[in-house]
Amino acid sequence: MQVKQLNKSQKEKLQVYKQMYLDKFFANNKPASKKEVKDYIHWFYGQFNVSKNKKPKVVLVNSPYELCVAISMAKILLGKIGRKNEVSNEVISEVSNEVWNEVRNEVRNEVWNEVWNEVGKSKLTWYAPQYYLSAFNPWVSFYDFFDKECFALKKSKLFNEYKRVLDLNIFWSVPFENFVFVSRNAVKYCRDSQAKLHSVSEPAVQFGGKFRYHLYYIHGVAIKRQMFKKLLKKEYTFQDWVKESNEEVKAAALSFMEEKWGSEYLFRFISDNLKEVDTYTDKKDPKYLAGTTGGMNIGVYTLFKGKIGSINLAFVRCYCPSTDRMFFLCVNAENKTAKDAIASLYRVPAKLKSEIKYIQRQGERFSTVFTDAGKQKLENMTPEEIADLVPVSGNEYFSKMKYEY
Amino acid sequence: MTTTVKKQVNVAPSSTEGHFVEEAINVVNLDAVNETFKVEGKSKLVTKNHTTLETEEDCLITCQTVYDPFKGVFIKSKD
Repeated sequence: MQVKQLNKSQKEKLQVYKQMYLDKFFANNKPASKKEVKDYIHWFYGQFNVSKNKKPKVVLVNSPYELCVAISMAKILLGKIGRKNEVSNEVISEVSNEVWNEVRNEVRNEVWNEVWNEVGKSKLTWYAPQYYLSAFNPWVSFYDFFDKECFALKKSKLFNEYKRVLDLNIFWSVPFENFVFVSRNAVKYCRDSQAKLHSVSEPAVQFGGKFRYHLYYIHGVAIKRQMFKKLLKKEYTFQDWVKESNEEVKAAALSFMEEKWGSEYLFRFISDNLKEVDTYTDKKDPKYLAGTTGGMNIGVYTLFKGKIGSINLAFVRCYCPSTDRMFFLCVNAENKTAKDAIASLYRVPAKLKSEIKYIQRQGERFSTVFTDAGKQKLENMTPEEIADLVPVSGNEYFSKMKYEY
Repeated sequence: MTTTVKKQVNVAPSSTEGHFVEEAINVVNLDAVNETFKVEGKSKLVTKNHTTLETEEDCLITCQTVYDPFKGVFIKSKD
């Protein structure tokens, strides 16, 4: 049967399925059970003939970090195949020195209980189906919708048994022939109104266990724990910010300050170090605003200048037309106007500078369309000519710019 | 280096999230250092944090450059 169009009822259920599957991952309310995970993996290994061993040992830990530690421990222990008598002295000492001191009891015990009896008998032989034994299987929701709402899949029974993997509340697995190492799902996820991972008061992703393995996000942008702690304690300095090389992370820092400490704090963070020099507003044709937020900041560019010690600084402030996020992009302090400053971020091969038909932009990537003569030139350019990139003037840049996202 | 596009090609290899050309006839990496790509045919540029950019004809993808005030040089912008 071919489904050519979804009916009204089916269309209404799309959102139900979407939410149901998001909740399986994000609204987890029970920790993964060792018995359930073990039973499932034994079923999976048997059903799909993953290895000769249909009942691998299952090591269940609390986070991906613990999972890595557990595998390392197991590798050290199992690396002593055939030398079990030496384990009590040599290996325990080795394990202690390398990882034991970093590992809390629960990981140690979990590995020890499952691996100890295999020392001398097994080794870690890696098997591939880790993706299928994880929570990252969005395709399941796709087939589940068709199976339940449109027509039964040819292997509906098997599919429905398999999809239980998303009810185990696990995060990731690393399967071997005789062992499967499994991380539980995080115990808490914090997200913003657009469902992006986000928190300015606690880790956005929090795994359980004594390791306290956490991940930090600001509106979907991952930042390091050290940076988050500094931002939280108001110890993140202007120098830290200037030295940050990733523009998304830089923008995330400013976003954190504004949300956590208010606009006044953010204003002072900037104005104590940089002075506004010039502003340019590019009044775009309304047709080029399609696909943007339509916000009033689109096309407004402001040049700031300042100093750190003897080093001259210049930044051009702009707003992402797709998200309205604020960016401060570092430019050469020789720029005198905001218009030239923003244009200095663009680069084109010098040989094609006079052949630009129009320019478009998506974040940090520019897309340039050339005249027919320019396209011909491009065909015959040497690598050196391609690499000879130059900026254009502010006037030329804005006269050629179309869509910016 | 020539790549025949089957599904998508990342034209921002140094980007955390990547910017992906879809539906083009061909994508050619002209400069691996500066990340300059020639895109042949009508295409879409897709990424995580920005609206999809559609281009109706051949285009050249280049990377934004920012200034490193400590080294006094222009560098590829990272996102």
